[in-house]
Amino acid sequence: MIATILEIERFKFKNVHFYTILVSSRPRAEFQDFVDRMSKKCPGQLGELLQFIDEIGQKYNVEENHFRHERNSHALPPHYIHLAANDSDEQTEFGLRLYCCRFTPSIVVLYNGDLKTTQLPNDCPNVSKHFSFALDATRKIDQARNDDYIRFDGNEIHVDEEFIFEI
Amino acid sequence: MKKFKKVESIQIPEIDSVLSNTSQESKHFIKKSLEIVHQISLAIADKGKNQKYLADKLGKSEAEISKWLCGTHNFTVRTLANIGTALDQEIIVTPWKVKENHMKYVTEVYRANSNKKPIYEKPKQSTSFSLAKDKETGLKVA
Repeated sequence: MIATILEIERFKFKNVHFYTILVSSRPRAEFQDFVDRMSKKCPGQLGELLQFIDEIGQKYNVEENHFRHERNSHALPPHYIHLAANDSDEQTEFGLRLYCCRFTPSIVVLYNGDLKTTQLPNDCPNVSKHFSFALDATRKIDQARNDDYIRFDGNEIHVDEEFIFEI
Repeated sequence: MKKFKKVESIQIPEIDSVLSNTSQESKHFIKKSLEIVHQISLAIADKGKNQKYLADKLGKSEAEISKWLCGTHNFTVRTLANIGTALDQEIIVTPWKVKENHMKYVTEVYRANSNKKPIYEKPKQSTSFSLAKDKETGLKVA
């Protein structure tokens, strides 16, 4: 699958820019799909999660401890945040997860996620595919950086014009 | 010679749509939680200490303190008071307390200045107002 990295216009802040990935065979970018689906499934938790991203982007440096560590990637919200569900939210024991990767303090890529139903993400029918995608995408981006097809310049991502990014 | 281009951007209007439907209580909760965690981090740095110092002072593990500072932990007032005591710094200051501190400061400045020189210089030309004394603060007001 050919993929494209896209900068999320709404989450461009002075110190950090947030990005997402569009896979050519899918109609929507990963984070766009997440927002669209979760706005119907759990609008209360999604609202608090988006507010969290907005706050850390606007007022704080995006620090390592704002994220939950997930192997080579990250997830939001961080540990011990209990996003409050409202009446229209579907309830699950582990709540909402958004998989992402904080590559640098200035560049964060937001992938996809869902309501987590089990302790281990691989066991959860909702999040397992998003978790796997996140690990794979992070690995491929790291590889492309090592091979000098992708460059990070401050809070901007630059891609070699001839590079085909496959996930 | 490789040619690099900046990645394109995407508009996701649903973000603002969700945020506009998010309750003020939820937004306030996230804001305040991050402010408190940030304040604790600043207080530790002001002291020139680290999380281990706070952990030792509170009798907690360093891992637990680290988790507290990861985001919106639900702190009790007692925990915040203990952290403030350990770091010798207020973690939360209410608007009422800010007002009281301000009045104390103004009074102290007035007293300090009144020993040296008049805080109020009489205008050279005569004016229509006069000075009175505020009953509560003892400050002279025009």
